[in-house]
Amino acid sequence: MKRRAIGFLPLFLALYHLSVAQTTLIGQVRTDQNEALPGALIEVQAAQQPDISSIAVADENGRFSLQLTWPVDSLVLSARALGFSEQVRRLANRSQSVRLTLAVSLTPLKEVTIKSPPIRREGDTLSYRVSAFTDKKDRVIADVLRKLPGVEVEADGRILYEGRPIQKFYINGADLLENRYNLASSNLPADAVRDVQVLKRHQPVKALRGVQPTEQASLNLELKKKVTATGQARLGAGGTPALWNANLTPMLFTPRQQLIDSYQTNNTGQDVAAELKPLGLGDFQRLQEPATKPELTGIQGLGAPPLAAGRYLFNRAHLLSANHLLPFSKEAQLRINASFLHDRQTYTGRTRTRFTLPDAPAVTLLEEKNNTLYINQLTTDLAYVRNVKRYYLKNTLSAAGSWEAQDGRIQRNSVPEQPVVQRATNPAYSLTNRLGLVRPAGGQRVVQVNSVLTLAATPQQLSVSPGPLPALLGRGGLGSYDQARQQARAESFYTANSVAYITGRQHWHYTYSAGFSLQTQGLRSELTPLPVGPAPEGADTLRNRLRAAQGRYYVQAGIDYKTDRWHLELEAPLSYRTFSATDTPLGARQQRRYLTPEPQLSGRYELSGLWHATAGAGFRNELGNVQQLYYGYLLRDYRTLQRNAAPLTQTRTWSANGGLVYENPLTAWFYRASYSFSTAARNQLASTRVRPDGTLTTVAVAEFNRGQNQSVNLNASKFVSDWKLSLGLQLNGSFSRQPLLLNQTLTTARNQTGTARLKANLNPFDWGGLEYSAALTALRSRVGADSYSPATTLQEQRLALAWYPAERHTVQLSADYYRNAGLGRAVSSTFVDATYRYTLPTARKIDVEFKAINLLDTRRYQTAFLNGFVLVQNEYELRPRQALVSVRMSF
Amino acid sequence: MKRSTLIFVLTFVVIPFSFAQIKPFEEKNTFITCTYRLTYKPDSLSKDKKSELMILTIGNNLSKFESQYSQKSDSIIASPSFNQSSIDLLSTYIKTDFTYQIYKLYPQKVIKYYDKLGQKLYQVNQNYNSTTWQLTATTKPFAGYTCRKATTLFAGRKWEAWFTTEVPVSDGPYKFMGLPGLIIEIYDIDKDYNFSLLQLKKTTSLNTIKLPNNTPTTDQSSYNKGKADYRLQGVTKVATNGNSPEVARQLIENYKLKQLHKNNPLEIK
Repeated sequence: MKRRAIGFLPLFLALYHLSVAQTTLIGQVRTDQNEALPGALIEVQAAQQPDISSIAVADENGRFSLQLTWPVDSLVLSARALGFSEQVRRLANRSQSVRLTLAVSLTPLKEVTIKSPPIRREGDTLSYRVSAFTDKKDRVIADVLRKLPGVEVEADGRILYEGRPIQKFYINGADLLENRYNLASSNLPADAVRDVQVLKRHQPVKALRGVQPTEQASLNLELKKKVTATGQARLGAGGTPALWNANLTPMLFTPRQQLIDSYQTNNTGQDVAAELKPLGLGDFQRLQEPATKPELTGIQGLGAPPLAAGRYLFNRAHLLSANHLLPFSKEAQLRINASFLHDRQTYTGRTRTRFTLPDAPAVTLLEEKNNTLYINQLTTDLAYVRNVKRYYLKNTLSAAGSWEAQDGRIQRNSVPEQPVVQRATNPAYSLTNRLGLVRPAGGQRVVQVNSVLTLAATPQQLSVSPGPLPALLGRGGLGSYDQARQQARAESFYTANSVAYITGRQHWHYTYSAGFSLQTQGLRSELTPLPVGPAPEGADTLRNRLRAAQGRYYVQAGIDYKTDRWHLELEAPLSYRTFSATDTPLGARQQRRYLTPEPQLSGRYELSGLWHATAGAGFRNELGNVQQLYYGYLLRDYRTLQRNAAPLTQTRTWSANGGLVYENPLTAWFYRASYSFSTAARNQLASTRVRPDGTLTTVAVAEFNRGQNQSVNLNASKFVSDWKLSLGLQLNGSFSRQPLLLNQTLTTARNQTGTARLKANLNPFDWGGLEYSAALTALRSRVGADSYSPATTLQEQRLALAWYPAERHTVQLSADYYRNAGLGRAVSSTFVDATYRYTLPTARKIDVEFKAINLLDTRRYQTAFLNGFVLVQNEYELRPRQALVSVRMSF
Repeated sequence: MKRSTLIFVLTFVVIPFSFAQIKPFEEKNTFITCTYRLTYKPDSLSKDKKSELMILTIGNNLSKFESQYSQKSDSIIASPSFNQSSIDLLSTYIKTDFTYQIYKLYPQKVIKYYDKLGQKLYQVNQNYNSTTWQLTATTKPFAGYTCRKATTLFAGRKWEAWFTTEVPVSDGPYKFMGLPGLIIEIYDIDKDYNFSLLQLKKTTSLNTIKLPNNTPTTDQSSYNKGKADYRLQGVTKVATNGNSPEVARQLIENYKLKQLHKNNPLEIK
């Protein structure tokens, strides 16, 4: 033992001596071409002791340095680099400089694949077994979808996957409802579905697979049985007055056909058409289409207030909807969607209209309105889809008919003893064919063809008694007459066609397109004062026999450029616009042709990781809508007589906007500020004559003019995590200046609107949540050199509380407060709603719900808006306090 | 045709089109791309394991390590036919448990760590000291390479690594580097985290590995708090947006439950 210890002593001393001596190796690695070899790996090992090792990596100049404190006397140094042969040298363990030259190696890097990594193909499918997510409370498939990871269902029924709207909603792989899938998701019993499949990055157009990747997902519901007949029924009743709300939705799914039919009816103010609302996105870009039903004439409406329909809508709605799908083969299918809506809606309220006039006292008009709308609408879509690898073809033929009648009764404060009775019928018919074709053109290039063709007609009629505007329309311009009858019939043909070629590489992306659109329109109208007598002066101007044609031929380049900091988008169409119109009996004719560029540029620049700036600018040079032109007079409503005998408005608009955004998710602070400006030059001006009784005559006058709009937006939001409190503040201001020709005086109307909004959401507890929002809007205007009118203010506050006292019991309480002050007396309304829901603990899926709304029985609501020199304040008669019990079951 | 119109046509239609047709000579860069399968146990109380593919891209002087999901999303963004307007949403759309990007600068032996919060990328400063490895003489063949074993202590776990000198790069998955070759497999001794090479190949690309610029800097604890808040805010916002209060409550509860089961990060301390 002792001897051994002594024997080891010199070695220990030697080791000690060596270890204190630090060895520094410096050197340079070069190639055999005498170039520095950066990135080369230098490893030094103690000879005979390979687990003592140290490494260095050569820098840009191929240099390296290593410090060693090893108790050994020789070292093994090896230098290795990709594509070069390894060099190994034995060195004495002392500080020195080493020069290494590596020869190019012909042995390639050993590549390996142990197991191919699975490629994330487009259309990855996630499958969820529905039974795993269903509990007793769930009735329809939307209830289950909500619970699937990554899936959200919004209030209007729109389904999101990972925050983005889904593209397609398939049932057993077939697209029955296209983007109106709400009908299925909110009515299909959860029991009937076996699996929900999320098709990630699903490109529904086969021809675009591998060409245009999509980040959107689609959903497919796989049903339990091959042949499934199912459905849902909901029945609700309540008072007062007697209320009903019913929904019966039978469904059938077989391999040969799919069918969902639905009948819904209510008088509770629920909008039945909501389930028919398109929710998803179309297959690909649709062409712009004009409205098929121009409003030529009609009764003085009351408009819809910014409240939930359930508060103000007095309706009696019946909706019948049928959806059938017939697959011909795996690639081709025919789909029929048809619906019929019958509704009667009544609106009762008061409108206070103030016309601010230059150099004259303002005219204020008070109207008590009592309107009834009778709505009948039939729509049918017949779609043929062929979806193969070589191309995608979709042709949709749509026919729509609407038969609408409006009854209106107005009592004016100026002549209370003489109510105005209006009756309008405005049916509309249209037939539309839309064709879309997509063909890949090799590589990432795609050719896309779109075409749309529409035929539409609308014969409208308005009769008003007693005869309005007697000074103008009365017999010989002398006095009162019984009735005025305005007949107007518009017929139009519209077609738009385009071809687009899409390509790109690296940072650039191009879309080139060319196309044309053509619209011809005929307007025949006749305004007849009744009883028929000697024609008033200028009777021929009460007639229209207009034929007009408008065309646009264009080529367009779309360029998109994106780098780390920049994103620029340019859209540059070059259009040739044509317009011609004639009214032979009135001897009127006009024609316009011009070529114009209309570039739009927008950009985004990353200032720093947290700030970015956006900006955009553009120019447009457009002709007004053909529907704005009529050489003879048209009685738009009982107090508005319009004529537009000037050249069609040509508007040149320059616009610019800019914004600055700060987003820091780390601190949950977000701010955003933006400003936009636009100025528009027009070649004509509307000359309006307002009479003391509030009746209006508008004539277009050729007079060059310029208007301008500005708006500022500021936003800030913050999340306080300790309280689970989110706060948001929003400030908007808008200013506009529009020239006017009012009672023969050329003047300017200036409008200012300011809004402040605050929103707070508090969810700190498990037993409930609290939500508060408030908004204050102020509007004011001035005409000419007058000072601003006193501001009209709108105030809105809402407080909502949700409370879960026990399992199966839910209480929701909400209070809304509205106040509108300005013209006349201020009106404030407070609503208190309470919903109590109790779910029966039965095994059968039956839900019972009790709902009470408008507990305070508030009947009046007032709102206001500003339009040029006109301030409109509407007051509405609301639905009374009511209670509803409903039962829901599936079969 | 007016002169301005002619200029317009030339500027916006003809010139870009002709540019689009030119294919300039482009030099390609060479990389080694290593795909690792990461198998991990997100919940220490459960036996369930999850797995994800991770990519290590090795360039001349630096490397980048990230989840394959992030890498895919970047290449989708780079794709010309991608719908540009949806790019901003993309990063939140791609689902991965690992949003970090780790860059290793070889000559400086420096690690730069970035992580995302929503659409924003932050540089997150790390308390990182270079790993001290214990080399052993144990070898085994793995994936066709001769691999040597080395062990280390890192972030509260004991790790075993298998590296090969046949790939002359001192790199590996996650923050692991400093061995005389590439790490082919590495795991902690509890096997809560296991990175194992699936594929190694040479690739070429027009792009180079670049450190992200313009990124705000933060530290790990602020980042963790910010991330938790951001997610909770998102969940609260989505849950309370239009859903009935019962559904909202359920969504938030589901989320909290899910978070409780994510209790086993790679770095314990």
